[in-house]
Amino acid sequence: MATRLVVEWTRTSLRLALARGSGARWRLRSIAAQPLEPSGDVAERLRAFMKSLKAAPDEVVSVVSREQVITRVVKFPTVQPEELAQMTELYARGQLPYPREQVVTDSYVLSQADGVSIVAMVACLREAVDRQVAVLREAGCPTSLVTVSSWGALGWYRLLGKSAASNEPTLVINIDDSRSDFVLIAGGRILSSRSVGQGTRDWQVSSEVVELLKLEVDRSRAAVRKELPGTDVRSVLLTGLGVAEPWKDALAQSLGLPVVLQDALAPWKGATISPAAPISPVVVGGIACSDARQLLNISPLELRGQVRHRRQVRELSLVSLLIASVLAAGTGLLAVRSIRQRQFAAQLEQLLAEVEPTVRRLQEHLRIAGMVESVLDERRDLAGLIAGVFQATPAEILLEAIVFERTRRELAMRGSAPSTQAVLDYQAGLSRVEGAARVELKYTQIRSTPAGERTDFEMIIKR
Amino acid sequence: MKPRERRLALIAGVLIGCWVIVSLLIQPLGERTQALGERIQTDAEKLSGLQSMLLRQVTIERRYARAAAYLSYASAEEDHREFLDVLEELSRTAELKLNLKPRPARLDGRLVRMEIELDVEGSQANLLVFLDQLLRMPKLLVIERLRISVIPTRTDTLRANLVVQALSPSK
Repeated sequence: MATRLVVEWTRTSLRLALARGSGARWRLRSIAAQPLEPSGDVAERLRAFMKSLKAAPDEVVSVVSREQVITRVVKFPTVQPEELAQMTELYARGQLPYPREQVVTDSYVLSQADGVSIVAMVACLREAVDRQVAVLREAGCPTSLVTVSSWGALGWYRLLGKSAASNEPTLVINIDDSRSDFVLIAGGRILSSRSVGQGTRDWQVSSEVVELLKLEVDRSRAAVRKELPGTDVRSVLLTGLGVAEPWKDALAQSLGLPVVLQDALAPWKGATISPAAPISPVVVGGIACSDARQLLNISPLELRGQVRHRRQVRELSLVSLLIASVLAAGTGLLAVRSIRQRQFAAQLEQLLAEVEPTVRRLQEHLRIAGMVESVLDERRDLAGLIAGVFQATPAEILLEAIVFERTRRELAMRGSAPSTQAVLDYQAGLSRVEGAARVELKYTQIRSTPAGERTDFEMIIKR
Repeated sequence: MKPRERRLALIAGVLIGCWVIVSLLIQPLGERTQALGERIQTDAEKLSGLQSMLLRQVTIERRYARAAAYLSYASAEEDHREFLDVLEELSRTAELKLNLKPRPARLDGRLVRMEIELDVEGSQANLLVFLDQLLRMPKLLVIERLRISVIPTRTDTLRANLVVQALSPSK
């Protein structure tokens, strides 16, 4: 939430409004007013006020009285914003009664139809704006925007909503202590505005007021008819300082228009209004609660540049802050994760340290048991194989040698049999011995002996 | 400083600040966290393996208890001498002629291998008894080679040549 300070000073008083909010939503917090002597130092008063604030405001809006600006309503044969801006600038250079470099301008579109735009141009002497900006700078509150008092009446009217007056164009008459604003509003825009340097301070006799107001209303209507043919006031909204109920009927009767009397404080029930000087809060309060994008901006170009620069720096600072926050949050999360992982790793290491000696002993036992079992199995297999060979050897087979080589995993046998068929039968019998994977007959040889023929053989039993 | 320069300086400051934070804080922290994560994963896998081993503890201890009966923890010399005595006793009992050729013991990993070459002569029945008792011996023995042959001149006598390795754990 940002804070906005609206500063306006007239010849009799200094008015300040403080609001909080952002974008189009602003809430008025307080309005203060101090009487101002003709030779009073505004900067000093402002500095004192700034000291009373807890924090410097984010935006400072300076208000120029409507009396200090001139307006022109011009028709341009285009509806394109770029072309319109160029035409407006050309008009300001050629048609204003001052040299271009001596004025500050702003414009807004009143209506657009059939390729034609009706634009209201507002111009103010640069010297007046510079003076005001310098005073604020001296007081330590750099200006963000310079606008015109009529836009305060528009802001106030918007805050009221449609209930205030239904017949538009509505002429809002804001009576202040030393000034009166006549602002014609329709469709949320100012069609025309005037200001007279007279207010309640200047009107001693109440009966004359209605006459004076009627006169000024008539002048406003005449100006509107001249600037915007076919447009006329349809209702009047009377507000401001010291507005009396009897004025309403008298004015309505004399104007022949519906007149509504509205309390100036109506939109700000919760705000602190503590003026030390009698003022109408309509202008400063209305500007304080308006969307800055909808306010007329007659700030000099260099001030606009400064404001843009300040905004960019603020946005950059905000982005930096966000990046720093994200980085800080990321770092924090990483740190928390790292701490948790370190704790978990320490727990794991402790568990491993507790379990490892037991497991190492088990692994050693397993290795020894495995080794012993494999040796025993091998021995058992060899014993079984030899026993099986002897059992499978019939009496007619004479074995001469049995050779076992562990590395070759085989049992070689040499001997003799009565016949080759007996050798083959013996081979078949050996192949059924447990532990014998394959029995290979290496050779057979028949030889004659004193006892008859014998068949020598050699066999290999693969395990 | 001009506003544009101030903006550029601010952007540069932000970028440098970010780089410093990332380089000095986030990157080391990230690397440390990653290293910790890898260590945790390795330790967790190791612990899982150890736990599966612990689950088999009873079975392993039972197998080890059975295997321990075959292990001799006496010194290599004593064990060697004792084994030779047993072999001689076996041959005497079986009435066989025994010729022993002990070879020097050698260390093989955590085992001491004592190799002995035996030449045995005797009747077939006695030789089979000797072999049977040798193979049943409650000792870690590996028969490297076995050769049984008939002696041509003495048909009732067999000769056996064995290379036996007696294994014992190293101290």
